[in-house]
Amino acid sequence: MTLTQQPNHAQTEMSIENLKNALSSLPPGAPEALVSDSFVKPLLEALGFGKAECYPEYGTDGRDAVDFAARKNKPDDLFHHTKSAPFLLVEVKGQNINLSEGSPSHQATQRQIERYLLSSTCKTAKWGIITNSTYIQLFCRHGKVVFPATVNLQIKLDNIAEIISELRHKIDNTHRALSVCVYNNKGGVGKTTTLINLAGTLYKRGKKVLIVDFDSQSDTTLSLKLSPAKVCLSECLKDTRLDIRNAIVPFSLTAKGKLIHVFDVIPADSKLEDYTHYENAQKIQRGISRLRDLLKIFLNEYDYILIDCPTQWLFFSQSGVYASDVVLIPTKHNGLTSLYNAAKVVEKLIPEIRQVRKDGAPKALPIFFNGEKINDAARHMVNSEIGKIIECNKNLLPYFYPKYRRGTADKTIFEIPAYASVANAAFSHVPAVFMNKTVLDHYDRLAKEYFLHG
Amino acid sequence: MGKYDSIGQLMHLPLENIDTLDSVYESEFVVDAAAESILSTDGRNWIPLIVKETGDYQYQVVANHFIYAVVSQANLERVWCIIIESDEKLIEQAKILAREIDPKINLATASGDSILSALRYLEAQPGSVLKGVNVTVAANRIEEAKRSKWSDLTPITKLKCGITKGKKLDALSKVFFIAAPPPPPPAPEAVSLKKASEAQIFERLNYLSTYSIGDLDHLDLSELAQLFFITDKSKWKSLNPLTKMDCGIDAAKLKVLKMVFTL
Repeated sequence: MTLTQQPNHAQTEMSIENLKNALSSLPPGAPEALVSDSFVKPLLEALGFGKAECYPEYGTDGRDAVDFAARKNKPDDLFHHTKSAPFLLVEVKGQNINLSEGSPSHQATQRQIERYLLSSTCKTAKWGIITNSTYIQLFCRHGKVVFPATVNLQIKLDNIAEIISELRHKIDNTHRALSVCVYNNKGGVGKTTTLINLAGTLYKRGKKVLIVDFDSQSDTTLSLKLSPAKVCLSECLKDTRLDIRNAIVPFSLTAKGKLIHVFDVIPADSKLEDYTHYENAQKIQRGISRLRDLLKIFLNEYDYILIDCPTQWLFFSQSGVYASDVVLIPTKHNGLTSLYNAAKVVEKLIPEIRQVRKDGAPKALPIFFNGEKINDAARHMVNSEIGKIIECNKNLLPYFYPKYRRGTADKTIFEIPAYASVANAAFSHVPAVFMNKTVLDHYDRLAKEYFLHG
Repeated sequence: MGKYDSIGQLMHLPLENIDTLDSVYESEFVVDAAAESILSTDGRNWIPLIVKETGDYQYQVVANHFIYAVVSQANLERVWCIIIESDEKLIEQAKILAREIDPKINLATASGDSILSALRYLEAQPGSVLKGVNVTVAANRIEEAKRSKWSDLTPITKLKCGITKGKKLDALSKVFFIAAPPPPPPAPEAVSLKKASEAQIFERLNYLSTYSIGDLDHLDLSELAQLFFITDKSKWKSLNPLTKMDCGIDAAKLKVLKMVFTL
């Protein structure tokens, strides 16, 4: 089957039927080999991958191999032969492994598929599945980010067709963009500075970026000296007939007398403030999901959609988090409340939104320290505070110490140091990364740490 | 009704996104004058429309159709609405509260007073088909009938109370429905009649009677339990002698008793 061929209805029905038969014939507690052979093979077929489009024990980095890799064949590139450019990876477990939500095996298998998706031989892989035939979860990879694309679904005979349809719809409609909300429940952590410099850095890395200033304070818009277009964001929120493309304003810089387009911005406008008033807010249909709906048309036009939103956990920030795949959380090492608030974002606010989204996203990225010098004494103090936070909720550990492994107590937290040039740049309305090479180096590191792969 | 959804919220929605399947008859005068009253005041409908979400940014009126007619006439751009969950039972409740449909009561369990007040309500409707029916007599006969066994309303026509099949019975179906009673709880464990205490015997007879199993209603259960208890059963080889004690137990009832008694 080539990329352009669509399976007919009868084929789909038949592959679902095969899958149902496979599922009902599996003995309870079926081991991995049996699940692989009897369930995952028909699963891949039901997802649209023919036998010659799947490869078992696909080698990743080192001695590791993922159970299956799959990719649609092209006339001159048969996956079975070339084994190049896998698109989907599947990590299989036996039914004897508990993959229910939050179980240690579920967490370990998530880390495993993440590792495979980020391995050097799987750079083209966009999707990862973990399953033991009782549970199944789909993950999406964008650059260095792997985030859930579905919740962990329990497979039953009566919902398998629905599950396949959901997975297939996602896989067949892979988006170009990663949506990132920069948020901390505490103010003054440098959200706007992070956002515009990250956007500038991603541009320098050849990425097409859209910034959405979803903060009625308009910090991002003002710092880039932009004004709203004729159609403004506040109107688009309310009026479903307006085309949000018309709200885009380009941000450009002049270099050697030439105007260079850097990234696009949907600026904040003064009327956004009106929505803090109840009667106006009730004009926004679909509430906090409205922004996400509005941004859908950009998912294949940009590589990154970066959303700025205010500190308070109200409509604007809830909408920003709802519209994103991942949340980037700047903190200040010397502002302990920013750490406690970061923990609140991870353990309370994001899960609330996840519950409404019902697709497993958004995911919190590990915190980073923004813009203050840190000495050993301060580091010691901050680690002791983080220790207290983690002691209350051990699940928070990877969000504070992403490099911490069993046996390796690596407490590295990514840092963006303070530079006078960052502050000065605000007055010249140009992101600092365009004015200072050292600043660019630091944001480049940030982009590589969190987003860019390889 | 979650923290982040619009269910139950008062929303100001564009009229063009709202449609309706039903239209109610209202006089042109009332609709026009009501529209005028909106336009001549603050342009806002102070009684909300009740709508359900039918798709992305699409809504359907489920109650307060009169308001829909009025705001359409007034040509409002946006209408204040309450979004209701798309649940048949909840929508029915909203329609009842908006007086767009009549509330119904379960005739299988309704009290005599409720039956009478429902019949009086129907009788008082303009052009009621119950004119000429003595609703007091009808209510009494319905109350006395064994309603718990009914599967629909047709047995009413056999009560000779003036309610016949056709328009009259149809009118009753606007306020009455029959819901099957919930299944009885599991029967108490069967006990040996020879060994059982009087209390154990009573408990089992009471279960059968309470849940109308075996038609024991007209028997005095305490007397029966006592009789079963004191009768010498030492020479019994089965429970069949129960049918010969002249205590109202026949072969059919014996079959039911065997659910809860062994020898």
